[in-house]
Amino acid sequence: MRIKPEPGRQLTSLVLVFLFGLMMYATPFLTWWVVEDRPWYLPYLIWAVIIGLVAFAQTRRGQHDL
Amino acid sequence: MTFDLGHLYFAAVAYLAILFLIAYAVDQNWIPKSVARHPATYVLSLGVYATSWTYYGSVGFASTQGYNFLTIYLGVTLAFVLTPFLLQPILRLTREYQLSSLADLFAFRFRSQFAGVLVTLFMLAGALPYIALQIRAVTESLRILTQEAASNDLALGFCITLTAFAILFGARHISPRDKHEGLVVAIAFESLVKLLALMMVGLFAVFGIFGGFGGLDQWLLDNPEALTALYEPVREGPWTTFIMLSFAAAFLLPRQFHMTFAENIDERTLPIASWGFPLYLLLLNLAIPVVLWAGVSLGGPTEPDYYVLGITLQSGNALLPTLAFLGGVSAASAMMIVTTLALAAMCLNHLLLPASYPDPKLDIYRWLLWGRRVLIAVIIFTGYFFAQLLEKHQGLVQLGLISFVAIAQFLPGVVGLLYWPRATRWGFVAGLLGGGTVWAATLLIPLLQETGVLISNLDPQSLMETTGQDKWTFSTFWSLVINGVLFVGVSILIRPSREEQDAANACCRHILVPMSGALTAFSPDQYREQLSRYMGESASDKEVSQALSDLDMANTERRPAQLRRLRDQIERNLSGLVGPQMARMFVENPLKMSNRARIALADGMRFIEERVEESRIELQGLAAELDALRRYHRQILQDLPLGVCALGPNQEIVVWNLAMEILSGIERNEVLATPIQELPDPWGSLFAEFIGTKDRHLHKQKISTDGRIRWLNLHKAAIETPSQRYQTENEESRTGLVLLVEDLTDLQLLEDELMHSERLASIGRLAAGVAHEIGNPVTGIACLAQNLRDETESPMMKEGVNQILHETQRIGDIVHSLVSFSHGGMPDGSAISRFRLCACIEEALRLVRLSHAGKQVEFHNECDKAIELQGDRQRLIQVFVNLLTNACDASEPGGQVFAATAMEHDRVRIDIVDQGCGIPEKIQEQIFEPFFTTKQPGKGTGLGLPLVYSIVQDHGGSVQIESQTNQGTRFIIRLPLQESAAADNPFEDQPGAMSQ
Repeated sequence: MRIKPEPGRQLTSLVLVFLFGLMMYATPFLTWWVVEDRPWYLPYLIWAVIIGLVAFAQTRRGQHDL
Repeated sequence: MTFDLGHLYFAAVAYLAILFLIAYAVDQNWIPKSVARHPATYVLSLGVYATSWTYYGSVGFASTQGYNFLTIYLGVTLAFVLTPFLLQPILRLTREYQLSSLADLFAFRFRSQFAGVLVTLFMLAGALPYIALQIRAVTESLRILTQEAASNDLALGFCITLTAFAILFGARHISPRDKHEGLVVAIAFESLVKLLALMMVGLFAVFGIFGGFGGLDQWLLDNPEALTALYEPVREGPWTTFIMLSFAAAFLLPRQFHMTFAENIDERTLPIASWGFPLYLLLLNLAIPVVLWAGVSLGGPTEPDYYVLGITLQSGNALLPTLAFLGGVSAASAMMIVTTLALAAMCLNHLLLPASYPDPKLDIYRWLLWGRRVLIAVIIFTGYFFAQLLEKHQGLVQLGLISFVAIAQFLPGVVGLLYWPRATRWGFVAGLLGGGTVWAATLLIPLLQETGVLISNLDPQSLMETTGQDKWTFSTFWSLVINGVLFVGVSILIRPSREEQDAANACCRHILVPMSGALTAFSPDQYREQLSRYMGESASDKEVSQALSDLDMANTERRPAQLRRLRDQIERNLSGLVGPQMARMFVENPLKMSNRARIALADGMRFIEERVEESRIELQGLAAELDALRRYHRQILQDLPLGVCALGPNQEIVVWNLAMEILSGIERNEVLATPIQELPDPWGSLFAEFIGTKDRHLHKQKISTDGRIRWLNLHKAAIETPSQRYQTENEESRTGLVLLVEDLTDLQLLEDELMHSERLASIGRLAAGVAHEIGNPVTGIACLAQNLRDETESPMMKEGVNQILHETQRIGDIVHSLVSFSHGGMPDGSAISRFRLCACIEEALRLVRLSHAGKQVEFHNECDKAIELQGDRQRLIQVFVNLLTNACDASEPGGQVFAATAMEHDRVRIDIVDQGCGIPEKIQEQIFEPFFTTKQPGKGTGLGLPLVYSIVQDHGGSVQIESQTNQGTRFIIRLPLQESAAADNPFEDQPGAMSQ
């Protein structure tokens, strides 16, 4: 049987996504990916990953609410 | 390639007309409402965030600041990640309390008109550069396409057109409370056009300028400095500052707040927007670097701010530039329409109405409508004049960022509003004034100095240079630090008022107990009358009727608690019309309540329960466990087989459980919060009298309800109120009461029946004694008669003596039956014996014939005389006596009653059939229940058939009933048959007729 995660855990997952976003955008991690030899679309890729994680967390949360 | 100005202007107006038609079609239901309510529509409508700044300015921003341009969208993404913590609580508040703007929200939380005024003024100051930016962008785009110098008339024409459309979109209807579904769909369409236009331009840049992705890669290899120019500023520029600014702007900009919260049709769409909206922004920005590189590779006179338009001129046909131009018009017009609508509502509620409230004789709705229309025009034209003041060299992004820093000043206030109950209005005002001053000194004044509007000796630029920070970081950091410090410091120094505490509970703890107390209006009509002094008769009638309809309440409502709810609903509805502070003033003055009055427990409990039900999915951890426990306790109380009625300190009913509903026939919703004395009789007087006595128990109280006598035991106990919050000023009545009501009716009926049975048993014993005494002389008479018959020769004498003997035999049979019946059966099974069924039924018939009814009916015993049963003969006689008595009672005089038997495998079937009135189908299932009777009071006990059922069950048999009204009833008893009796049955059926 598939056990549905608790709402608290799903909210926690959103906080984790937020912290991941902060880490990528507002910490010295920034200097890791802001390098000239990176592909031009890398910032978009990181952005898309964050959006995907939020969508995943929200979809699971929505299923639980229903 | 150049374009005709008139053609472009016509295209822009035609495009706006199409938008209006879309909005109109939605309002007229030509486009299904499901389109307006679809999550994708909501997500796209949030795209109003992307204005000319995004559409044109992002490329210019990227050319000077590289990937820093993305921060304006990454901050939004981070803000939307926090939807459950940041956006959903705001959405809940705006929906619950009909708050349509950030100024409404702050005025509601801090219960301060001044806070509303300050927020509105600050919003206006922050939004004007932004509106100017849009006007500039549109006129500049026209200049690029027409190669003509942009004239002031062009900008003026654009502003007049937009004013007309803004009024058509948002100030067409009388009631501003309704959601503008048409506007939402139109803005979503605009966002789609922006996205498609920018993507088309991006694809043209890749394939039209570079010849495909291979060409683009080759160009980047040949020009490595292009990629360096994107990445390098990120390491050096105000990356984090911009992310923070856009984080705040994501939901605090007037247009964002309006579309995200005020125009949200379905709150379930917000979680989808938390990823859908950032995805839209990502797609919108994909083309920006490519367009920049295309513009750089082409060279030419066009500024990077307008590369989006400039490169399309290389396409060689008019379609792409026109589409790109319309995308820009779309971005600018959407922003200006939504921003002016939001600002107009704020100015109306927080500037115009408090300053000059209209005469109640005027139609307030019309006054508000025209007020909003005038304000829309004033705001757009103020933006126009601001645009005229600005120097052309002011970049689009610079104007936008100045607005962003202004908007960020609301961030400490919003966080405090949602999560810090101690925050006070003076803390908020001090913080906003402090932060606003820093913003004005560091960004606004230099802007005005540059344009020549303001001449002063202030030189904030040099101060910023000494710190080594760029102006955006300096201004953002110091304005927010001073704002935050003042907000926290002053809030801690000054205690919040009672009103602020209540509002803080609503915002931070998600609870708001409605106010209670002594209302000065006692009916909805009195509400109308008192409100009409402020709003006029027509408006007050409409508002009270609307609130009654919202609450599904009758106009005849008189209960104080319900009237308090009505008052709250009127206030909420008015809040959507004139803002929270004005609504409070409207309601407070005419619908005054006692200052000393506190909150009614019934109101509080119901309100909290409703709130917890609504927010059930939000509860987590300990709160969820406590809620489960609360539900469990409530269910116990609800399902208790005793009637429970709990009273609050004011003797209003707080709890009324299911047993109480069944007992009284009064539903819970009808009586909650009603004073106990106002219950309908006999309950009101019964409870009031009981509460008035010192006795804690009252036994066997006889009452009459619905024509039925009931006996009740009443118990009462004092209960402490759960919180000091619910105390009244009357110290003597601080405690509540719980009343327990025990229904003794069935027990009382059983007692009566037992007494009756005991009396009958005494009579039976007496009859048996009498029968025994009669038996001896009758035997003597029979002996003498036999002697006389033997001795006489006279045939007449012999005939007479034979009749005497026959009658004495009859007396003997009756006496024998009476004596046998009076002995009764043995419930322990010791009286089990084998007997003939027919004789058993015959004996029952003999007894029934003794009764008055039995004498008037013709009996037919059609039983098989050979059938033998094993069982308690006396108890089975009781079964047949009961069934035959019922059959007699149901039959008319002269009617016929049949008793017949038939074999069914290993069972014998006994039918008792009458031709009487029958039993209605709806009560056939109830007739075997104890005390159920259709006979007149005193004629039947309701125990006859239950006894039949019980005895037959004890014998392993079953009872079935077939009956039709006015056609008769057939009772079918099936009893297990002894095998030997069935197998050795040598007799044919020999029906015998017996008649009275």
